[in-house]
Amino acid sequence: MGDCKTLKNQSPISRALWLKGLMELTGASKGMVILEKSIENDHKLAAESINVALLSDADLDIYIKCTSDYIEQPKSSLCLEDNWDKLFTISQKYPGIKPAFDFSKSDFWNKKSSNSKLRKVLGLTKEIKSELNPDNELHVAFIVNMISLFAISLNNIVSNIFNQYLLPTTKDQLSEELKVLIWGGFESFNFQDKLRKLISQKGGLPETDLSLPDWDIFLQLIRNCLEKPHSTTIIPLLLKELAFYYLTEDSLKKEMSYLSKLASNDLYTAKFAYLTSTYFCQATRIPQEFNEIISDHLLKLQT
Amino acid sequence: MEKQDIAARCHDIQACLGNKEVPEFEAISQIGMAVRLALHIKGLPRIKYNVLKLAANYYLNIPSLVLQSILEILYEVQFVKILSQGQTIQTIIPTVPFFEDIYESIGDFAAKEKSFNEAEQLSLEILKRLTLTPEPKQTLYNIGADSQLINRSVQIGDEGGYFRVYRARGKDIIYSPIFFSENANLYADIVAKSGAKNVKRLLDLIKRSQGWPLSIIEKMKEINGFKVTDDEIKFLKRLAQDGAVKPPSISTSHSGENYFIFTPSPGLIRLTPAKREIYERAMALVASVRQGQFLPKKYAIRSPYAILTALRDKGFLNANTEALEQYKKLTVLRVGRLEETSPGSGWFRFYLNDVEESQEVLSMAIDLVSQGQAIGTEIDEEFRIAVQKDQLFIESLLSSQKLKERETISYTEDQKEEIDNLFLRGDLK
Repeated sequence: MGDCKTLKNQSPISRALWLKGLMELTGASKGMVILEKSIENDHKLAAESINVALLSDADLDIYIKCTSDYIEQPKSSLCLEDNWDKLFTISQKYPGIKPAFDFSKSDFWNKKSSNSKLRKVLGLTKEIKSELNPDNELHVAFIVNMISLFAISLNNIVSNIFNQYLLPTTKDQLSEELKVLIWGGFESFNFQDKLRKLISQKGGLPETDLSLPDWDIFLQLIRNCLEKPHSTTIIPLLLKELAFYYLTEDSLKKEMSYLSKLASNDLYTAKFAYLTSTYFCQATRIPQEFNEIISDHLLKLQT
Repeated sequence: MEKQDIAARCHDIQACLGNKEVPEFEAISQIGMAVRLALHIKGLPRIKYNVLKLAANYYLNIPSLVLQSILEILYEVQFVKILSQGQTIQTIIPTVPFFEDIYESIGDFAAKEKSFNEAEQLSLEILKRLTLTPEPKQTLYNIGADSQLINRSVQIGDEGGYFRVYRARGKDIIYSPIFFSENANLYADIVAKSGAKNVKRLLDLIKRSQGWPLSIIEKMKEINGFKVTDDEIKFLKRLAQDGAVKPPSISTSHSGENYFIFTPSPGLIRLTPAKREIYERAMALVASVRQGQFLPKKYAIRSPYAILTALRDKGFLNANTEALEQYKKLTVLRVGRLEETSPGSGWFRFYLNDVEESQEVLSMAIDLVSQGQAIGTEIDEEFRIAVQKDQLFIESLLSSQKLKERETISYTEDQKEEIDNLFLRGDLK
């Protein structure tokens, strides 16, 4: 968790203690406070004991140089301030998208449980599908941003499944374990499943089992990710970078190299990003052109 | 024939043929290569076409000329995404599904889109019969095909390495080395004596209960509740005594030497050389657990499956006084090690060695006990490693090899004459 807000008359250790509280609230394991001024060593020592690094601007440059996995800093669409401004204008320009956008901006990050986040991202996107226009690059960027949030939850779920079962041997086993995980436990799943069937019965609808849309495709996605679970950790970053690529001005797009770098670092990441976006676009029933645009880009990254 | 049988048998035939060409085979080769490629690329990330071309040729005997058409089949069944620049394929992305039967999907495609000629249909039918048991060659003529065609199919199969004919008790017995790689002479002999039906029944029983001790079968005259005849027991004893490859055995002070019966090991195509050693160790592991199940000194194992999964989950088995004799062979085979809990106590704990090989052995043993066969043994892992490296790596492998020569299985004299006559008569419309 990083904090780079300039606050006057606050000592560095006060900032560290405040950040520690926020880390406890969100479950972050490490924090970093960036300050414009230089920092006394005893403040740094005290902060280190609560897993917070206190860095000045000059310190930060050294930190980046020593810990980065590149020699020359690649150009990233995420680093262009204008792109962030564009992203935040989406809900003002297109009020129909506002509920999903607001969720992506704040509620998603406040929720702890991955299973409900996964369902909510899908559900909210599905609700606003008729507002979305694939010819609008802002909408494409928004959708890819939503997919990146979906990928964060997906990564947690894949890690959970892998840590418990490694590779489930049968489809049924994986299906059962996922349903219990995604719906927050055996009792919760059973209750919601029964409720859904009762409601379906009353409405004259077929009584199908509770599951995510296109459940079989979701199972294939998870099972693919289980082949290399560690590769799922970078999918959200790759997709976020792609989302911001669509926000970048055309004249600058060619310079942006970070996306190809992420894709080439780990071939599985790019493949899993493709499978994730394909599932997301299908499950949310958004216009199919979104899938064509996004898949085309993700496939080209793999050539 | 079931769709998955068609695809599986095409795979077996094509894998055996390798770089041999059979003029009569077209659909078999295409479908066989498609299955083989799909099995090997499942779960992999993107593969550069140039690397795939070289690796498929070297490891899977898929000629570069036909690779594109094979990829098109896989594209049709949605097992790959193909990325091209114009007409030139650049990259493929495998999307072979998990949990689905690859053989069924490709078999479904073959049934709808491909047409097998008479020679191909006959070869597939004969091989299908021989998956279960050797048969008297005479029974093949009951299929209803022309006897010349049958003879030609057998000749192709013999040269291709997927049929063999063995003479026993004055009869020609045909079998497939794909499924009967060991002690084929003994199986041929019992078929000649008692018929294929009995052998099929016996092998079926053994498959359902891999690793049953021979002494228990002899004593109870049954395998896992199913009766066996005296002749069948005699045959099993012959396997143990006269077989070129004997079943796994364990010696203990309280029960002497015991043999444990398994179905024949798969042949080269179904069990790569690297996996063969693993398979043999897996059989030894199953035998150890069956020893504990049926021939304990004091306390019997109730569920071999539970013991093996406990070994997988914990990495060791709880100590007992019988472990030393029961698992000693596994230490020699480097599957695990035995550690005495305290010196002189006689209580030993068996630990699985913490290496990938031992994990594979355990996984295979669990498959043998739960499903009667090992899964995924036909995959050449070296191909999967090679396609994930760059072109330089695979080129360095190829540079030491001569150009591969494609052999052709020659026509029979009759066929040659027929071709000559065609040209002579000028009937080429």
